[in-house]
Amino acid sequence: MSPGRDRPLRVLVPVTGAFHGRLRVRRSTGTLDTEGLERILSDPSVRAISLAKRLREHAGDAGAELLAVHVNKGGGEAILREAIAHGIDQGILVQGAPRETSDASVRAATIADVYRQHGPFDAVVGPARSEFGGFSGTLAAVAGHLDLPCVVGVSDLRPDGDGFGIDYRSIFGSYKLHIPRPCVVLAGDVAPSYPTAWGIHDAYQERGILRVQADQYAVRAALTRRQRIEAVREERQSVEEVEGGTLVRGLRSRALVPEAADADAGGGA
Amino acid sequence: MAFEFRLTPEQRLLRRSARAFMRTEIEPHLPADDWTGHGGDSPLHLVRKMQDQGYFGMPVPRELDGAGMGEVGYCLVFEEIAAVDSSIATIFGAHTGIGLAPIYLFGNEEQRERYVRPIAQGRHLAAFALTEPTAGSDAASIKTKAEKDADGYRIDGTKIWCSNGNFADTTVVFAVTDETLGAHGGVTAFLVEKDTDGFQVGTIEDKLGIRQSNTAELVFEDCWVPKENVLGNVGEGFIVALTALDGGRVGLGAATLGATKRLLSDCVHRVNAREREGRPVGQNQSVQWMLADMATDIHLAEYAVYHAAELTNQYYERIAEGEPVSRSLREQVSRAAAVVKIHCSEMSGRAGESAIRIYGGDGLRWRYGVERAFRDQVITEIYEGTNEIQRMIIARELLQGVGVDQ
Repeated sequence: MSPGRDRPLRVLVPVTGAFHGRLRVRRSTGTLDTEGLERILSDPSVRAISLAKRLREHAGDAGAELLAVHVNKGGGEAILREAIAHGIDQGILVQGAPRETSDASVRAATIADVYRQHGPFDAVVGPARSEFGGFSGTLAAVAGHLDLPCVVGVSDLRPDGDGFGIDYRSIFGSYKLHIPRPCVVLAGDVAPSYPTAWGIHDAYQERGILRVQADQYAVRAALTRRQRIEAVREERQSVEEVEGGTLVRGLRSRALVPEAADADAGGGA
Repeated sequence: MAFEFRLTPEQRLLRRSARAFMRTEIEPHLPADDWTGHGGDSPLHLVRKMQDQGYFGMPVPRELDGAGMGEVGYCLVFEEIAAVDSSIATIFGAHTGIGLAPIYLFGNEEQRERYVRPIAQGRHLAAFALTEPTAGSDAASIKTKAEKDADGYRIDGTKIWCSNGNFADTTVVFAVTDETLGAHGGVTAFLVEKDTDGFQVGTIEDKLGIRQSNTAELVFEDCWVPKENVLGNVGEGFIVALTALDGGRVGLGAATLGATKRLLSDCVHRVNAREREGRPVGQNQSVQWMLADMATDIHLAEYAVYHAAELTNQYYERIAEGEPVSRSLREQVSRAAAVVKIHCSEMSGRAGESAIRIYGGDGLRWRYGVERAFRDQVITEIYEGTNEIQRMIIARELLQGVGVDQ
């Protein structure tokens, strides 16, 4: 047993889905044609599970319990069963969340709610990227909701005293760092694992999935997509309407335009 | 015959993960060519990795530490293995389809614990020894004898063309126990462990194709096995062999299906990437016809294989549970397996020829892999019962009225 720990580590692994198959774009609308495509566990989620399993391996005899959570946007059960086949101990499927769950902040609020209701957890380990390869801000927002430290790009994770030792890689090089528990860890370049035939069988035939209803209060507490879009629209309108001198003063007040540069520009005119 | 087949989410995940595993963890580590050396250098280190994935115990239920995925799961994985390498696919098929299956189907509780469990756990490999120098497709002509003594049997004879024979931990060996009774009643199946006294590995064949699958001669000289190693009932070895071969042929169909799908995929990539006279080769109608014929063959093969796999699954479940099996089901399985064997092996032959023509001169160069695929498919029309024998099975059943007007 590691110092400061009298129970197995508990790790929450938020997982996301991805479309499996050839994606096409509808010419008429410019939207993705996803009809008939299967939802599967996304590759970044597979890598996050691999990282969480590394933590379990390093935990030794004390062990670690890995719980996957998925906020259902369709195909949720299959995604969680695939996560279980990869080595997750228990799947939590959040159902009944409103359509705004495609909004990262609402999804983050939902995951944070699961963290609170099903905790305590020692870490949240998840994917850093979305299914289309872009950086996902969801887990950073989870860290914000829970007021936890967050680290991105982790390639290895192990218990270390009252926290975790992490291998972290950035464009500047590779580092070994320490992060306190609990924390949010976003997986970096971790080799994916492949579910065994035994694991696949058990995920479908032996194991259950915990289904929970989205906490409507937590969901409402986050900004809805409509609210965010309206906020942006308002700001744009105010910029268009503002007079030039006011704009420069506003930028200077936010230190975006240096005083000297403005003075030079003004002198030249 | 009413038939609707759709893979379950579990089976789709199995196929997808097996494909990813084979193409990421196995394919990059395969030997660059198969010319250097012959049997004896099977890539067993790669086979071990596949055993760790649970693939070598696919149809065995979870209670015996298998994957519990049935014949359909076995065929799905077989397809993905053969899409990467036909030699490893042969090792897999000889082990699972005809080595492991009869032990699981006909073994008693003790035999299942002793032999099936370690195989399903991925610790042991199995083989099937039926063919002899004077008995090929005519399995009824085998000469290997098993003389009964007080506590067991002494086996004498020679088996040939035994895939996995030189490294299998357990081999199912067929021998005559009563010459007066012929195939039905006179042949018995035995389980022979690799270190048994009197059991030796003879020649390892140097072959045209599947060169990295070991094909061994097995020599039995006064090889004693205890009576507990009789598989099934004494005198019922022929039923054991035929039952295993039915499933083996379906698996073989899946393997050729996987290999042909991969060949088609490679050909499509080739004709899109390669230009002649300023345009992609794929724009030539003659090339398009070859591709379309390959795709048509594959489409039909897929239905045939998984229909036969589903039937075989029902058949094997009844045998394993000790339930009575209707003659109708047995005949349907035999016929479906024979159809699959013929169609798929001949499909891969046609695809191999087309691929070489599509690749042109490069098709004959070893580094493109097409000539290897061409060589590897030749055996599929011969082993596990030649296609001529399969046609005899189908014709015999047609003449008896089986499958007519269904």
